[in-house]
Order: sequence, then C-alpha cells, then structure tokens
Amino acid sequence: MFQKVLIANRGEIAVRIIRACRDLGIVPIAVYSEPDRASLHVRLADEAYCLGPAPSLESYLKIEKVLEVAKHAKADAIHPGYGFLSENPQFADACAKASLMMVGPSAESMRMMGSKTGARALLQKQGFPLVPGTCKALTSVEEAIKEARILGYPVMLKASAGGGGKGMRFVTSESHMNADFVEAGSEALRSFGDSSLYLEKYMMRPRHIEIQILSDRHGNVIHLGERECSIQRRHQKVFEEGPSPLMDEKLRRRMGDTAIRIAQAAHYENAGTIEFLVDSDRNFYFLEMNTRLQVEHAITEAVTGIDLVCEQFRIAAGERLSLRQDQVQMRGWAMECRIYAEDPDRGMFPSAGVIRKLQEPQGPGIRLDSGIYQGWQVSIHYDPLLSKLIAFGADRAQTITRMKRAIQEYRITGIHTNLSFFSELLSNREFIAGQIHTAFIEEMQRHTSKSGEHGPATFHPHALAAALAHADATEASTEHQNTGPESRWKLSGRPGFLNAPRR
Amino acid sequence: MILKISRGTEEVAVEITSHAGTRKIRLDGINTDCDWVRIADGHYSLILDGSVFDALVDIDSDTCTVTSRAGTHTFRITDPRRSGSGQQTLEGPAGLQRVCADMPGKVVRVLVQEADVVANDQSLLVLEAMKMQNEIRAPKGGVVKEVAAVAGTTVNTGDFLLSIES
Repeated sequence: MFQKVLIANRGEIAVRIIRACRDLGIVPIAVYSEPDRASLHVRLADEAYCLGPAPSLESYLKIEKVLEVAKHAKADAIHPGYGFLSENPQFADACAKASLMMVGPSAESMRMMGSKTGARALLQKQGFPLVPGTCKALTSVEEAIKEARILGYPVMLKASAGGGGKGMRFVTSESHMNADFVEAGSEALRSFGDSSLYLEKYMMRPRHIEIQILSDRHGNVIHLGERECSIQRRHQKVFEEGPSPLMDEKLRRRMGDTAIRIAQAAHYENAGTIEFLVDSDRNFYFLEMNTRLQVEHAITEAVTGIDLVCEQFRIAAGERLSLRQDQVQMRGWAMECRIYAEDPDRGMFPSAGVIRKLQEPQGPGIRLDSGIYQGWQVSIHYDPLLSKLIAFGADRAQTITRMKRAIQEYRITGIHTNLSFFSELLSNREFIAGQIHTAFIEEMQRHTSKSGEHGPATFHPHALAAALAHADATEASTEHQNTGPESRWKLSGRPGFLNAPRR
Repeated sequence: MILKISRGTEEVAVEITSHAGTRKIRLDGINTDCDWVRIADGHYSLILDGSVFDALVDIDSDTCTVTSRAGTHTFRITDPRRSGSGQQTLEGPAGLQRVCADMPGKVVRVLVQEADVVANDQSLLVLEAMKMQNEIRAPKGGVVKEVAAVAGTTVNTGDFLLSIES
C-alpha cells in the first residue's frame, strides 16, 4: 500500500479521501489555492502545500505544479477526486511519466470514454444499446438539420467533450436549430476548449440510472448495483438514491452485465460508473461513462458496505478485488442530498458568504460528508457544493423519514442553502410513490404554489429570539464601553510583566 | 427596553425588563410565559406554551435572521431609544430603484443601456459567480437611468450596478 498520497482536490471530496487515507494508514497531503488556506481539507491533512491563486487554471488545474508538490512531498500516489484533473488524460500521462500512481484508470481508457462521440462509436460497433443519435461530431448546422430530421424532434445537441450540462441544448424544432447549434458550440468551446457537437434523440421523461463498477489490474470486474439519479436541475444531479424504485433483480442483472462488458471494452481499471437512460418500457441505453469516483458514491457504500475510496487505493496499489460478484449484496436503501450554497427562493442563485452558525444532523442512519465549518467563508471561486447528506434505512420509506429528520436538524446560517428544497421534495406525493424522471423538478416546481406567510405560531417565538439576541448584543456593547478599550486586568497586569525581566 | 420586531406587514412590540438578573418579557404589552435559555452567542432555546424553538440568530445592524426547525425568518428590529423616527433611505429618490450586487462576482455582460425602457423582471445583466452565470433581473419596470456596471469587471456585495426610474 502507498505511504503518502497527495489529494489533488478541495472541499468535501478532499475530506472524504483524507478519511480513507487515515483508515488505510496512508499519510494524506493536501493542496490548496490561496483563498482555500483555511479550508477544512487543509486543516485535516498532515501536510499541505499552496498551488497558487484562486482561479482553478492557476491552482487546482495546474498539472506541473501539482506534480512538483507531489515530488517535493515524496508522495507515491495522487488521488484526483472528481472534477478538476480527475478525467484529464494529459494529467494521467504526466503522472505515469513522473512515476506517480494516479488513483484511477489509464489515460488510454479516459481518452476512449472521455470523448462522448468516440465512446458512442466504439460501443455501437460492439452492439451495445445507445440513445439513438450520431456517433461522429457534426461538421455543420446543415448536417445537424439533416440528422435531426431522421431522428425526429425534439432532439438534444450535446458537446462531444462534454459533461455537467455544459454545451447542451434541447432543440424542439428545426426553426431553432441554427441558433441552438451556434450557442451550444460556443458554450462547449468555453467549457472544454472543443466546440464539436453531436445529436441525440430526446427521450420523454426517461430515468437516469447508473451502475457502479470496480475493476482490478488482474482482469476482475464486478458491478455494485445501481444508483437512481433522475432528480436533476439543468442536467445536474441534486439528489440520488439506491436502489432505483424501478429496479428488479432481472433488470439489475442485465444492466450490471452490460456495464461490466462496457468496462472491459474500455480496458478499464479502478472505480467507474456507466450511465444509462431507461425508458418507460424498461429499455436501457448507454449514455456515458464517468472515469472517476462519483459525487454520489456514498449511496453505493451504504447499501453494499464497501468503502469505494479504500477499494480505489487497493486497486491502484495492484491488489486484487476483495470480493467476487456473488458476494456483492445490496441491503436496504440510501439517499443523498447535495447541499449547495444557493437560494431556492431566488431561482437557486448562488450564495457566498461566511457560515455564521452550523448545526449538523446526527443519529441513526445518517452520514454527513461535509467540507465546511462554522466561521468558514464560502468562496465565490468554486463549485457551491457544501456537503452531502446521506441517509440510509431498511427500505425507501424509512430512509425518507430519516432524511427528513436530518434536514430538520441541519442548520446553516449566514448563507442561503437549498435545504428547504429537499424538505419539499421529500414530502412530494409522486416522489414518495417513486414516480421520478429527469424532468421531475421542473414539473414539481410548476405545481407547487409558494406556501405564503407563517402564522403567529412561529412569528412570535422567532421575533422573541430576535429581541433577546438584540438585547444581549446591546448589553454586551454597553459593558464594553464602560470597561473601556483596555480591561483593568491588562492595565494592572502589564507593567509588572514588562518589568519582571529587568529585575 | 422595548423593541419593535417586524416582518412585512406583521409587527410585534417586545418589552424586555431585567430584575436582579432575570428577564421579564412582554409581547405587545402582555406578559408572556416564555422560558428561554441562552445556549451560546446568538443561540437560544425557547419554550412558548410548551412548544420548543431552538433558534439561531444572526444580527446585521437592524436586520435579523432567525432560523429554527420551523424555518428561517428575517426581521427588522427598531430600537426606539436608538434610532430617531423610522427613516428609510434604501429607496433613494422617489421612483428611483438602485440595483446593487447581491454577492461578489464578475460582470459578464450588460444587457441594457442608459435610457432603455425595461419591463419588470427583464434581464439587465449577467453576473458570474461560483462558475454559474446568473441573470440579474429588473425589480420593476421603468427607464434605465444610470449604468455603473462594466462587462469584465468584478463587483463586491452591495456595489451599485444600475438604476431604474419609473
């Protein structure tokens, strides 16, 4: 096993990886940008090194600097987490060249699956089910129009290099294609440095279900069941659960087998995720592969009992998988809420600022993977993910109950968060019935009217608390004025202290 | 001391009197059987008619945010001993609405010019923060009076962006 590992990330995922290091007896090394000096991941590590100023391109994405720090700190491996350098084949190449083990797949596998069109072409040739669409980058808007006519509207324009909803457009008719093509292309260029696009048929209210796989260097590949990620906003996941309410043993086996074969086709090593769209007739189609640890990995950890980050380290160190497929069992249910610094009352507008007060949930079936603490400044420079709240229970109903309880206990003040959105979601009748799909949030928000003012039952006690705090603050400041800027203790104590050495 | 605590159209007068270290509280002139404990700075546990409220309080000059299990409420506190008559200078000259940055960020695009007629909720400019582009929308319809925001520059919380006159 490794002695020292550099964690090339920040926030909750860096903290998560530090914890895995502790469990395995590895020395964790943190890196940080200038504004992240006081971050939780830096405080929890054994060693920490500054990468550079705030912009990611000058810090967390700077390959040479990360490698220089790794060399200086004598790290023998680098864990990239998710985002930043985690799916960058140039980084994987650079690590290999510097004889550093990167915890993840080879640059070759990343290249193969990183290009969405490349992956589609490869898998189509081998007969895997794909969302209908093109397998090559579109060369012109004319070609897009021609292909869209064959597929039938509505269609999705997507970035070949894409992910995270960037460079993606929902095109309803031919009259919009020109404008959408230009917009999506320029957004893709800005986000990924590559403007190429491809087309997919738009599926009506599909489910987004993904399969977690683990693959070692010795040719063993297993799947750890599914996660349902249909609850999305602007094509970004905000809530996930596992198992999927849709799933049965037969479908799980079919999707799991397909995922394993896709991983083998990509010569994949380490932890990875195969994403599928599933239609109302339970047909499933390959969407994309994520060649890294997922944000929502804790769901799989909760229902399988497998520590995915520790497994990642073991695989990277050349060990064999610690279990066979027939030893993998999914037990109970798990859910994850992504807690973001954003304001649900103002269209999820990001909310930066100092976390004034923090009370974290505890108790049966609750896990909190957090990157924040009371007094910490939420920066404007990075992703607004604060923490991930994970609940698990014997079944879906118990897990919902526990998650609701945890959300009620969880308090973050000083900034806005999307916590209230989750209490709304978890009380939604269709959600409780498990009838979810990728357009769920938009439809839910269209149907819920704002539940106006709270009555005096809550107005009075809250107003009272406000008055008490104001009275205490006023008292404290008047006492301060009476004592003056320097306390008497200091005034009388200081001369004696200063004189002491002279005697 | 008597404090006026208001939120929107709702208002309550809270009278706090201290006697030998214990406090008495009157709500709108009526004695209240409120049991309260100070847990920490700005953190109170209240029991009112048997109902428990674990309240976290953040004070920012005269506005106050209280969070409990029942939700988050923002109040205005008026301390008649301190402030004179309740003058409010937030609005600026009559009919003129100042649009300020709610958070630090970078101005990506300015979508309006001086003298443009804008509708309520129309996009005025795009502000980028936390890797997200956000549209700043008109709080009311009117004519754009002054534009201070410049594309490509960064702004801080409270910075003046533009004004609209109706």
